[in-house]
Amino acid sequence: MCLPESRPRISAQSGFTLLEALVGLLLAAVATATIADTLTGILKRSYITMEVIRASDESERFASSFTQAGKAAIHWAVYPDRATYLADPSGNITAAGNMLVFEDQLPDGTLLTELFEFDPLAHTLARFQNSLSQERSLLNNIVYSAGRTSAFGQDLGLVQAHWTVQNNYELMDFEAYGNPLRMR
Amino acid sequence: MKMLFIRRERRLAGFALMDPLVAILAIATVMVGAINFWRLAEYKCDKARIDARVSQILRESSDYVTYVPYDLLPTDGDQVRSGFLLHPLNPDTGQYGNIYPFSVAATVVTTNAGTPAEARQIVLMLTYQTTPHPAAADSAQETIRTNVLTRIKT
Repeated sequence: MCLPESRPRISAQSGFTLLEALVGLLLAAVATATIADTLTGILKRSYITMEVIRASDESERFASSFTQAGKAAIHWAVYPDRATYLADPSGNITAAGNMLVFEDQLPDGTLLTELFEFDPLAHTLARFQNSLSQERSLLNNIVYSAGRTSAFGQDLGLVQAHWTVQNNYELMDFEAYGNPLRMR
Repeated sequence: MKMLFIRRERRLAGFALMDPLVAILAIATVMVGAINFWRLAEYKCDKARIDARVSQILRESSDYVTYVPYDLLPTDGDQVRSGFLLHPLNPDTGQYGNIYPFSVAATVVTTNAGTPAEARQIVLMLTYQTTPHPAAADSAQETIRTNVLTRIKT
């Protein structure tokens, strides 16, 4: 069994050579890397989609509260910014600006004030109730919508808001409308 | 004995032609499956975003038509708005792109025109275009019509 002419056969029966094993490992590594890369890409894409949809839903809820406040309001006014609103709420009213105030009256006569403010420096859009110290919701990464220089405005009684969410994945435009009862 | 020796030698000589072919087929199947899986995931993510954006545009356009002063209502055939559904960030350029164009048009029927009882029945029609992948049978263009929105002048 140990004759010299049989050595090659014994060698051939001993298994793969180093080169064959390396090539096999390489192929397996390529296949594994491809599948892993695919799965990572899918998970990353899903994560991005969830992040974008979360931001979109936040703005949708904000728009809904804007419309609801607008529908129920008995008075409303737009101001250039917070400072001008605080300085003279009755004298600094303008047609377009970054501060919007809705005033509603509950059945028991209580006045309810909803304030919406866009801060172009902090890039935030906030909603307050009754005073500027009672924040109800806040949107981040907000910029002006294309072609606009203010977040709020009115057109023949149609109160409107336009804003754009600018995150690391997508730019999202939003609009909201409201029309106080007395304007209809 | 000689025949047996020859058979063993051929068996030990290496892979047969079929062996690597089967291996290549198996690897190709795995690759195609992985790529299709990835494309399907991409499509589902895009579809989810498109559906959300379409709902948003319909809500905004309906709100506009509902609350805009009667005299500013769109007339028949007017384009209420247009633009692009999505603006994804291109990581290479750092710029936001514009994909999937859309437009919202109004179909308006006016009744009792010129009288105090004048009313307008408005149907909004959103038309947008997307890519038909991965199912080639899908249409690249979609059209959605809203229910009738009625506005009365007085």
